Amino acid sequence: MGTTPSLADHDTTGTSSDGGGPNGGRLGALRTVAAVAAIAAIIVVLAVSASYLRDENANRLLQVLLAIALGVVGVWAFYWAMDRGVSALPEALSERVRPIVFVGPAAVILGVYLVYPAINTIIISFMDRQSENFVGVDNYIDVFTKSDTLTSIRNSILWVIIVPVITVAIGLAFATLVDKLSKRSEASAKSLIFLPMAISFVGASVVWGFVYSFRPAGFGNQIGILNAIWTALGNDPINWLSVQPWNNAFLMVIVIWAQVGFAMVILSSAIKAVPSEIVEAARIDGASEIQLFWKVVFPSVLSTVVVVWTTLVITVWKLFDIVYVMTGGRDGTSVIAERMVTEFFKNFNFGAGAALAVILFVAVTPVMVINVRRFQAEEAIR
Amino acid sequence: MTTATIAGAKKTGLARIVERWPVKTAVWLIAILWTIPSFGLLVTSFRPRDDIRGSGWWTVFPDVWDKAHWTLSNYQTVLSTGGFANAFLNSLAVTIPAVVIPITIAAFAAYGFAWMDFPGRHVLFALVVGLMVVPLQMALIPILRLYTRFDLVGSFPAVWLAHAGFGLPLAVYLLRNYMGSLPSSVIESAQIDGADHFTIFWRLILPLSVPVLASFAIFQFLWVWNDFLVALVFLGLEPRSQVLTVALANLAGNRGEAEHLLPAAAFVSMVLPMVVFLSLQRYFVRGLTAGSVKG
Amino acid sequence: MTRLRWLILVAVFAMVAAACSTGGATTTTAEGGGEGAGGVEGVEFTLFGAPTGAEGDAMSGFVNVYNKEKGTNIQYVGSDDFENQLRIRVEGGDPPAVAFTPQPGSICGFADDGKLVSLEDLGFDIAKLEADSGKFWMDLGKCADGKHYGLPWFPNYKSLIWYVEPTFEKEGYQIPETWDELLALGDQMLADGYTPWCFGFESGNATGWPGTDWIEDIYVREAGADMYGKWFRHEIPFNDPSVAKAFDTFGELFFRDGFVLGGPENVSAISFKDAPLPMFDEPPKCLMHKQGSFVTNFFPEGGEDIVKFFPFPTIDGNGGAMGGGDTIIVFKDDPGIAQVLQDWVSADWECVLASPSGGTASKYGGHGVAGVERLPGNKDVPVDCYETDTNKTLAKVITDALASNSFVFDGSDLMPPEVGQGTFWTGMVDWSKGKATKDVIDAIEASWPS
Repeated sequence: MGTTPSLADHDTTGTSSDGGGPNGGRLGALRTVAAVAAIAAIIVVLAVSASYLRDENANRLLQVLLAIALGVVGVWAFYWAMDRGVSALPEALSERVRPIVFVGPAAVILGVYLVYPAINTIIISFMDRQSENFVGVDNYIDVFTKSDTLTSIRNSILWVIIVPVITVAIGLAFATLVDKLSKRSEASAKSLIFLPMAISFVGASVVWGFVYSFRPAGFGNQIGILNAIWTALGNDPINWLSVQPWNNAFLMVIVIWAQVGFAMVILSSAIKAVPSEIVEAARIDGASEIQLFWKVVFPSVLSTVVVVWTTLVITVWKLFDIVYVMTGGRDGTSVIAERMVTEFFKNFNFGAGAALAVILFVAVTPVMVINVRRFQAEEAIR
Repeated sequence: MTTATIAGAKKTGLARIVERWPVKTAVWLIAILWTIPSFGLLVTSFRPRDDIRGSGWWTVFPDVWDKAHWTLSNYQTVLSTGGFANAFLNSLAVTIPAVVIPITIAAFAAYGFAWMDFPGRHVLFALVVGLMVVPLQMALIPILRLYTRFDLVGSFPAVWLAHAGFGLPLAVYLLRNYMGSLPSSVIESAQIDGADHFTIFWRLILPLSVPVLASFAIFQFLWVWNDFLVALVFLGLEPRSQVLTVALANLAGNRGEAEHLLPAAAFVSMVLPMVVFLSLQRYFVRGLTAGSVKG
Repeated sequence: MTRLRWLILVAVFAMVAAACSTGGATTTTAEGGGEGAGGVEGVEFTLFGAPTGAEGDAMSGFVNVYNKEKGTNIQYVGSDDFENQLRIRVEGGDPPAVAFTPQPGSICGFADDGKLVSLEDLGFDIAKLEADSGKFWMDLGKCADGKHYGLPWFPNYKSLIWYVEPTFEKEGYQIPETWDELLALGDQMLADGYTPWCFGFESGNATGWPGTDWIEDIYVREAGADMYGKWFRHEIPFNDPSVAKAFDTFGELFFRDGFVLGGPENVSAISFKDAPLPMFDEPPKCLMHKQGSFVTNFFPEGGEDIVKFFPFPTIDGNGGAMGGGDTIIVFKDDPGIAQVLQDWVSADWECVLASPSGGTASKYGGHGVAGVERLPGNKDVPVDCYETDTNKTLAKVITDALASNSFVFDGSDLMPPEVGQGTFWTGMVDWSKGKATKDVIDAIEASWPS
């Protein structure tokens, strides 16, 4: 983040004359020379570092620092050079080409890393388990006729309806409340909510193991806190993760616990962007805090709420790891993405796994449409 | 934050305290509830193996000062894992560029989608949003085939770009939402003053977008730092190029015979993400956008 | 000026390209430096396997002893995620040179795709391997083209029942030798106020597998090794009456009133790692538990002094040795690698892998990692390669079984993953909760991929 100019800088931006652009003169020539020198230096550094990075006996710390520097500086140098290159074109052409500088690299990366695999997936979804022969829509017929995949579709729909809404609601409530605390309390309270996000996935499954763990009566001490409380109240221990349909809810709790941090961070920055003048004006008009929230804050952050909700819908839609590790989809807890991973990586039935993946893609189309409509509407009024 | 203080100062001290009481209680209640499971993990990470399996973590509390309840050996084992330092460095070498690169690419693209006019941008943007749903598991084998063909397996850029690819749709989506909501008057007046897109982006939009950049940076950092699969597949199998998650996952043993090390491992690998979160928190401050827009 | 800017642009592109091609760690190199037959000096490759943690350290220790002795440069890499990683790397065109897999059922999938090098092509003497490690194990790697692709390395042993020795001594219980004696012993314990058995089927997304071990041990004794082979190869249906009989035999023990601590319906929720723990309570909450030789890893400290094992009893007079094992597969055709592998499966080098010191029998010492011992995959490995009495006893059982070709593999590892790692596991869970045998095995049969 060290590259970000200070706030004082950009007050003058609008009027500054040397804000780039192909203006000739001594200054420009000097810059070009400096740039060439810099590039030459970088190439020399690269030539040296190339052999250094290949050297297995070299100091790993230096290698790592070098790699980080190459990666971080490289990407910015790349954009800078592209922009300079385009600016050197005739003006009429350069303005037409410039969007390519901005959007092009993203499009190329997405093309390679997501579009190409997605197309590949679509193709193999029409092939057999080893991707050797075309089998038409057999894999899709299987998905919609087998009872375990139908259960997973039902569960995924429930997950997508329930989890994002609750997560956003808790995240928004917390972000709103915490905004009223002193700066220091705010920071520590937020850190606690954020903490679950930082725990690795393996850690999270251990954490919740110590919540839902079950040992039958007479087997030994309960090591899961839920059963410890439950048995202390005089009940028999319950195997929480096999009680249908509630086991789905217990799994959802884990994901809500982990994801509220995400919603809270993004929504909190949106709340802080609500101009304080508006809030103050409403206060002076005698609005209660609750009215203030619904009439002023909520409408202002609505677009962020939609964004967070959309992100969570997609996260939840393709979520598999919690289910895969905690129950493996047993006792009616399977979800589509968990089936997909099981078919693909456990059963090595590439056709069936790909068909489930394609169903994931297709089902998300309405969410895309909602978002694009919203952005179009927003642009129309700004 | 200055505006917040001014707003608060308009009320009397007493009124403020009375008003804050319920809020404070609610906040801390939620925060504590949220932390109990992780707290259990923390306690567990300091308990001997047989205790962990024999009784619940809360049972240490009646006589919490009894030394027999506690041990540092889990942490000692984790930190003395062969190649731990090496794995930590590798994780850094993977994570830092794998955060900066997608943020940079996404910021440029988001600006392009929000403020440049070119044919097909709505379709393209819809596609980007849609790509969020592509599960990375489906991408591993095709990408590895490409990498094998170009002899990229085992190089850091191979992992950076893969993480950039998988993180990009969300980054573009979040940043475009934020940048698009900046008032058009700012950009228009800069354009009237003769600034080109690169200048507007670099000197105006980027500084204004610091909060959203910081939040995305945190999440991308977390995902990459905690990632296991992408690093293992694209960085290759050699211990020399193992990242922290891979090294720690291998600690537990095949049947989980050393599972008691996992809580300590989870906390060791959590330290850096928490530091990043705490240090980026200062960018989530009130009035940054509002103030600049006014000025 | 314009040209200059283009030059800069080109330079930056070149730089990015250079960064991509230089990168961090070097890629796998498996350059066969084999200098003619017999010479392995300078051979360099990556060996990929599942063992991690202490077991992984023992593999590295073994490889290091070999490197030092022979001047090779071999590196061991273990992964928790072995099966997935191997599949991804093979499909992605970047396989390791040599791997060893605990799932022999996966070998022919790779071989039929042309990814593996056969033992015949590597110059192995198949007849000798069959004599050393048993034809059953060798046949697991015999694929569609009639060649062998799996090289038996080291097994583990599952036909064991663990018991609380002090209580057995105090009460004067005899080690049961037949299934009926086992049931009678349980009744006796019940009458004496003990709970005979501890069970635990829970294992995350693999929950149910400990139950399949019971069925397999019973089936191989009731139906014999030939039927066992037909069963996992699906030459008989899964709902064959012989399979139903094995379930019913298990049910005589599993569902007998008071036999199972916590009740049979809860077994699927008890972790297999926790299942042995009640044997160590004072007084013990249960007295017997069936599990493979690795279970000692989950004993509390000093547990091996209290809990000992006896072999799974005979049924209708038939015994059997059931277990799993790691099988080497080779992706790179290289005479140097072939020579290294010849060494590794020899009795001399299996002895190094056997124990930390190699016992009193090893020429080259041991792998050096305390607490890790590996059973022999070659009938000629002397029992003196082991340090502990437990493993000396087990090694004897295994080498005898290998020599007489009576060692059979865990059937669920040999069935297609949909069944062997899917419905067979979940079927055991359903069955333990009271679902009828017929419904369970019909459902498993229906799930067998065509």
